[in-house]
Amino acid sequence: MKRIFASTAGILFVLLFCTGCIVGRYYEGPDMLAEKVKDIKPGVTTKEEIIEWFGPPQNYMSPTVFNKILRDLDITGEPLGTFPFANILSYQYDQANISGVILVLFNYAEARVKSDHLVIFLDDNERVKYYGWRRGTKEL
Amino acid sequence: MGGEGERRSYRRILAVTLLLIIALCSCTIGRVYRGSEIREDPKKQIAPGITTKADILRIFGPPDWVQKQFDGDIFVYAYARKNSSTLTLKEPVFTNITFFTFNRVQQKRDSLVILFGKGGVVKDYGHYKGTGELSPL
Repeated sequence: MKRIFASTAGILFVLLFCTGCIVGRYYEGPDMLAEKVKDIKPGVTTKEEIIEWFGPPQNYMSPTVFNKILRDLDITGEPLGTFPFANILSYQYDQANISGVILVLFNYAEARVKSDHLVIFLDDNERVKYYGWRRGTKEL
Repeated sequence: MGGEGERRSYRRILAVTLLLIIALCSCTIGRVYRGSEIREDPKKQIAPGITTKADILRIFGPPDWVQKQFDGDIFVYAYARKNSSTLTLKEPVFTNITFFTFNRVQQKRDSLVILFGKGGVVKDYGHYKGTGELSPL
């Protein structure tokens, strides 16, 4: 009887565990100079300085490929990171960590998508009025 | 005689186990997390008529999108989660027939919508924590 249980347990073990796992990483957008964010001074820093430090803002470009995929897959529903306004500069760096376990009887997949996001509002003189900053990729 | 009986019951258990493994083909669980959770409790942090746009940006970070209106801006913050689970019963070796499929997708979102007046002060806000409604399976 012991042999029966040992064989059955052996078969189940092989079927459940002799398979694979997936690990994926996706990065999109310019890696922002986080240390430069603290140099932004509302009322002082100009639009030119911002562009010099962080490069061209992304809100004047088409949505990032990754955000487009997420929208197409109906994962996010509404548009993400849309700032089609001249007095707003937006910078975004996306990171996705994908992991999964593929077994014969059970599969598990997980995707975590986080963003570093900087949005700067300009006043009529093209100086920073206020800004918001989030280092989302640290949460991964 | 005892040995023959034991062999027969062994074969029977093995056959049933294999049949079950073949029929109970797969169960798949998926999780997608998008964005950052809303940092603070809006009830504690937002006071309509007092809190300014600069305060909101400092407390909640950059909004996920901005809507311009003739009487002020709207900031939207969102954190989305998607849980999916699928159970498939099929015979994958000989006929490839699927006997049963159960698929469940739950997509929930935490959202915070803040309406500002023309002066950049919060007029009103709405907060909905949908991700708390997600069930584990």
